[in-house]
Amino acid sequence: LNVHLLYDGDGPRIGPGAAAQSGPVLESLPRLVARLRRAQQALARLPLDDVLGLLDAAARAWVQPGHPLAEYLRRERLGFLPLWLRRANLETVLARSLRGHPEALDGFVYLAASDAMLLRAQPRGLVVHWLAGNVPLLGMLSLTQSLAAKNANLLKVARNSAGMLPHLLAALAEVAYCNRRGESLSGRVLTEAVAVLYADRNDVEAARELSLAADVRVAWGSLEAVQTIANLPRRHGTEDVIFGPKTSLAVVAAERLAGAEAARRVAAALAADASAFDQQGCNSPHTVFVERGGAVDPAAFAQLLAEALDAEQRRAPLAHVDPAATMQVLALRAEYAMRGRAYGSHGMGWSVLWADEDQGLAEPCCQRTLFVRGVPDVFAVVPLCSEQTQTVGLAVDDRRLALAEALAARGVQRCPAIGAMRLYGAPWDGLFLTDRLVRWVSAG
Amino acid sequence: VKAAPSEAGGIGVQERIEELIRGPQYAMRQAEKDLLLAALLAEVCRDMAERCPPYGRFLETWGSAPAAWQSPADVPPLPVAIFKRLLLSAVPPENVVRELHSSGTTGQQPSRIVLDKTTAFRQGRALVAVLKEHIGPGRRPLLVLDAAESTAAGGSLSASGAAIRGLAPFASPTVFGMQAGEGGAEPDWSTIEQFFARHGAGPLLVFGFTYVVWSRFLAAAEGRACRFRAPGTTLLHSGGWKKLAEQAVTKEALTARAAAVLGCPATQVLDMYGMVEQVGTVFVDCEAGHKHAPAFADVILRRADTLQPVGPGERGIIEVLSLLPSSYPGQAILTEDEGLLVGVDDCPCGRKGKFFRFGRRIERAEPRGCGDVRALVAEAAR
Repeated sequence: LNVHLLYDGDGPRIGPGAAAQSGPVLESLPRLVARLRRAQQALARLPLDDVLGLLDAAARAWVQPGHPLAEYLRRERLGFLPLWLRRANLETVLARSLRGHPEALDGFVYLAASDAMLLRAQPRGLVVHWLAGNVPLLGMLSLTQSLAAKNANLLKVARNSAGMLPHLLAALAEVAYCNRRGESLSGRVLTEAVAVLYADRNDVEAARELSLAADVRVAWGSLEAVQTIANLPRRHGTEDVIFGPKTSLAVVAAERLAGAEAARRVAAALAADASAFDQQGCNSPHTVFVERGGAVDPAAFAQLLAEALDAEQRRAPLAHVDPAATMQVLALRAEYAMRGRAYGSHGMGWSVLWADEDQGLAEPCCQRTLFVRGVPDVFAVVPLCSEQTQTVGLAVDDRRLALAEALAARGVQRCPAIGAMRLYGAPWDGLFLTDRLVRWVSAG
Repeated sequence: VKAAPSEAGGIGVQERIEELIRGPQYAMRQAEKDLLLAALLAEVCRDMAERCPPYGRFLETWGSAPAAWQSPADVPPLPVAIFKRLLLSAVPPENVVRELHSSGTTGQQPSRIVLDKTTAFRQGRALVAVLKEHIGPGRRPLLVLDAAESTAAGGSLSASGAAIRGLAPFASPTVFGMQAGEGGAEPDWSTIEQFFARHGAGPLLVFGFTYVVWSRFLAAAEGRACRFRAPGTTLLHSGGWKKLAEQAVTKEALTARAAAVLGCPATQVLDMYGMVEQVGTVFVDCEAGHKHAPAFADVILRRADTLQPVGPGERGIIEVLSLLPSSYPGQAILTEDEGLLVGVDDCPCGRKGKFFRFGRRIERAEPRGCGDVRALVAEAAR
């Protein structure tokens, strides 16, 4: 197998910025899998409180000024990670995911006083994650939910961010935590149960072997990528969790545009959502529907949005510019300058495009490009949504829940406030990941 | 043909453009050229903005006032894809003598370029002026490696047809060496062999599109063990390298094999860089294998992230500038090609100004993971 080992219990095999292929070729996948399964047995004996304690300790340590990882997190725009790893966040995620009873990960529990059945959330074993290159952070979010469920993990990373996970895992291995019983724990108990690999996405044989090793297959990626993984052979009983392609949009109601200041706040929140992950996420907005009739009309809102994106750009510039995307953005900028209005940075930092006659969803262009479109009513966006719509960010007051109901009925999976679109959480894509990473076992 | 004062920036500007076309093409140093072109482009673009209101809005949005332009790099370039999205014209429909269109990739809208008389004539003369400096003046037999149908008369003309017509002033006679077939044009070997038998001893010109030359002509000629032994041949080829790059075909390989089949020196196999959006403005290989900008045109290579011009030795997106168009806003066009700016004023061939090498067609390389809905859109469309 032409698979490169990037991390295992012995530590990282490549530097944070190194090329994926610079990792050593994996000698034996079965041997690695056996090692992971042994580590999983040790992890399964660890109380959930200790797992959360270790992750929380990492979150606290990594934001300390002077910590080697603090600068890395800032530079790589991974600021969300320490927030995600905090105990309070993970407890909420697990409680939601595990029917309100995350303690079922430690043993049998009753889910309700009136329910005579005891239930336990049993780790499934080895989770193989296929990660996409668009949002490297997702690897850690996927992994931590699996570690909390006490599974072993094999992560196949994308080429463009291959060194990130090994670097973060090396830092996690160094974390020390004193639990409630006064015992000192090392992050290694978690990282021993993790390995990171890279294989070319066209390497069918490698993908096949990884698939056959999995108790759960978690696939993040484009339609082609997730379909390829779904079609790989797997053992009977292997669970699949597919996070395929989705798109997102935002809706601004007239009542939130009652004045320039209010509109500016919405624009700032939206700019932050569009700038996160450089608009590469399935939760990134591309088209913004602005209800007509507010004191600030859609065209004026486009201008406010431009100012807000410019502020975001100064704070955190666009990290990567693809020349092909540059050409696409420039063509759009030119077209909208000619037949509508176009705003943009001097270089490729961001763009806002508006034309009075435009309707419907724009084809996503990324590179922090937002299309502003006027609608007579916020409910006009409902027919534009489907099961492929992941997030509809809402800046809507009284009609918010009614609109969310209509959107949910169309297949939309998230309706957060604008400004919270970029925040990952549970459920995601309509499912609770941790729930899918355990077997529910009944007793009594 | 002189443009009327109302057509593009006043008579003084038009005269200067005509002088540039008539004069030596590669004699001006870049510093001098920058000053001259900036001033002329400012006039031409200001006038174009008045006559083509969408372009005026583009300039207003993305550029500074033309009067403030200090160098050609200050002219905001139109991305070439805009000609696929919008029909941009600076002349009334009755003044349009021809509409050019690009071959276009499957499923893509082709570019549409409208030409008035002034632009069409000027493009023809400019092409002659440039080619004269590479292949010398005078007519010679021309073998076109394409089917005659590609230059069919009419108001609309493809990129290939426009290029072939542009070579007419060098041709006596023109022979089409291919026939339209079901799978595209196929070599007409009897015509080709007859052409070389009749004219092979003297100077002659062969023209074809790069991909056709490689895949249809050279491959088949080698298969037939053809060696034409025509040392006076100049092969001019132009067109996309995308398919050839996919097959890992280099310019050097094509040149060597073409020279071997035709029996001419490799220095007489010339790659021309140009596009339907700027017909007449061609960048032809010099003896050192570099492409130079003629007097009435320029080239800028820009960084993809900041769009700032790169310096010698750096790669960038190729922008081509030209003073030729007066019927559409084609003065500064950002192509979808990447190249290497090799140097300025110091090419071993002696030509002045910037010189560059073509690199590759820009293609979207990175998949966009779970945020990539293009496949879903395509599926929904099906």
